[in-house]
Amino acid sequence: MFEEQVYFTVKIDELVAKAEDIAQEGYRLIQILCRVKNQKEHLGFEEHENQQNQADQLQPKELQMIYSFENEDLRLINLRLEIVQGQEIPSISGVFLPAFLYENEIHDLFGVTVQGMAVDFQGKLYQTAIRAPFNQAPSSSER
Amino acid sequence: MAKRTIIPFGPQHPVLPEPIHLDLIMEDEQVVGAVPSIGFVHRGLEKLAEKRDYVEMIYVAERICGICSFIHAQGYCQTIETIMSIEVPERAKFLRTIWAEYSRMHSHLLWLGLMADAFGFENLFMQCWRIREQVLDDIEATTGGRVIFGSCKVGGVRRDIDAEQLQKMAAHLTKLEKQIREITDVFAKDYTVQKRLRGIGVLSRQEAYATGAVGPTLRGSGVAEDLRTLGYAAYGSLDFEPIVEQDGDCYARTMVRMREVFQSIDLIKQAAAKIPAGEIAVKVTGVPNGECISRLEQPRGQVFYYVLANNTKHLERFRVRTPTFANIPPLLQMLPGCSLADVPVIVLTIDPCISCTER
Repeated sequence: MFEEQVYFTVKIDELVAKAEDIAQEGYRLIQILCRVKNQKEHLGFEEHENQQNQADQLQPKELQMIYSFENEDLRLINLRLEIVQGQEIPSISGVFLPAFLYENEIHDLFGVTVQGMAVDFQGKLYQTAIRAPFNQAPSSSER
Repeated sequence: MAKRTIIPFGPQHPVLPEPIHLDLIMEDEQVVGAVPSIGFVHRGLEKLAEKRDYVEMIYVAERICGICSFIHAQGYCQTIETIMSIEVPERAKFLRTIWAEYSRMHSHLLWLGLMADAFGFENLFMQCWRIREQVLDDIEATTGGRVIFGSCKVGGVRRDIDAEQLQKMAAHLTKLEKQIREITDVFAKDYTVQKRLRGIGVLSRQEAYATGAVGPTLRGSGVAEDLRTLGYAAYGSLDFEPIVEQDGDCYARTMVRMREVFQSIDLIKQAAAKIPAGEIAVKVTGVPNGECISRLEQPRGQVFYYVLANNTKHLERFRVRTPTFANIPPLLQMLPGCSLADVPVIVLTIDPCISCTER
């Protein structure tokens, strides 16, 4: 490994305060990612085959966000945040302005609601044919 | 008070190699704000990792973008190799470094040509791309592909370059260096070029760092960040320093890319001289299990890979944060205050690669 992989776990109500602490230490935001935990256990492939009512496919799931920061020495630290689908999370764009772009992307692709984004594209950053496409299990074909 | 109008820029525009849309908020001829809109070439490639075997996924990763192709494949392979604790042979690391620097050269020459075209210097654009053709010929001679190399795999590389070929490449690069210097002298010294680039799209050091700028956009504002200094591949064995300019304007960013072309030539020659003998790949068995972050320096800047594997042949999550995505907020910082005629030049100085941005 070329760099240390450092992770800290935070809760929703600690996120903004922790981001402020990290900013004070001279770090900047590198990226925010989201993933669905245990996606295959939540949706059967048969349900995914039915494309008629797409809203039904967005069932509550556990999601994990990873916020990555670096300083001028290229040291990388990551914050892990576990949420449940439907929970709203606060934006860190008040601390790290570039966060608005990642938060809008996560909203459009995963359906996560982020409160207080510096710039809110209202779901129009990515124009996708289905809502929250990354929040769906892969289709049963070709696996 | 000046009346505000909104002028759409893109998604189709002569200066844009790929589609991005900006709503430019104008007061007369001056830009006061810009609102980006992306998603025209979103392909859901990260989601595809859940359906494709982790070995097949290399072919997808190197097709995230044509210009940045090799380093995408390298970053993906590196991340998987770290998770699986695979020790890549030293010769393979040097070969990866050589191809990565060729990739950087052809990307920067492509960009220099597009920049010349953006301010109307078409002859200079053609000269840049003429030289780039020779770089692509060298790449094709060693990998079989001009743009999508297909030479990286988990555990090493697929092809070798023998000593004779390496010598020929080094000799050709010496000839190319002379030709490149003729065109870069125009960028550096021509009066009209300087008029179009100096003092335009200024991004201060603090703004560049705070808005998340990466690559030449960041180094053009005086921040000496280059992920190659982490020492991945064979970079730990090579001698180089990040190329930095202080002015933070379009000219500074152009100079950074220009000087990086020469740096790439030097790095390839160093790697060709130091490359050890040995195997080019190790056998890979099993499936990955674990998570890893890898960061590499693409021609446009820092690329971030996150892979989460769950002991099956399909990855649970594959995340790529590309440099152009990180450079969009700095772009929105550069635009206010400029005139409409300077917008294409400023947009081009972040070297937008929208295929990478949207994946």
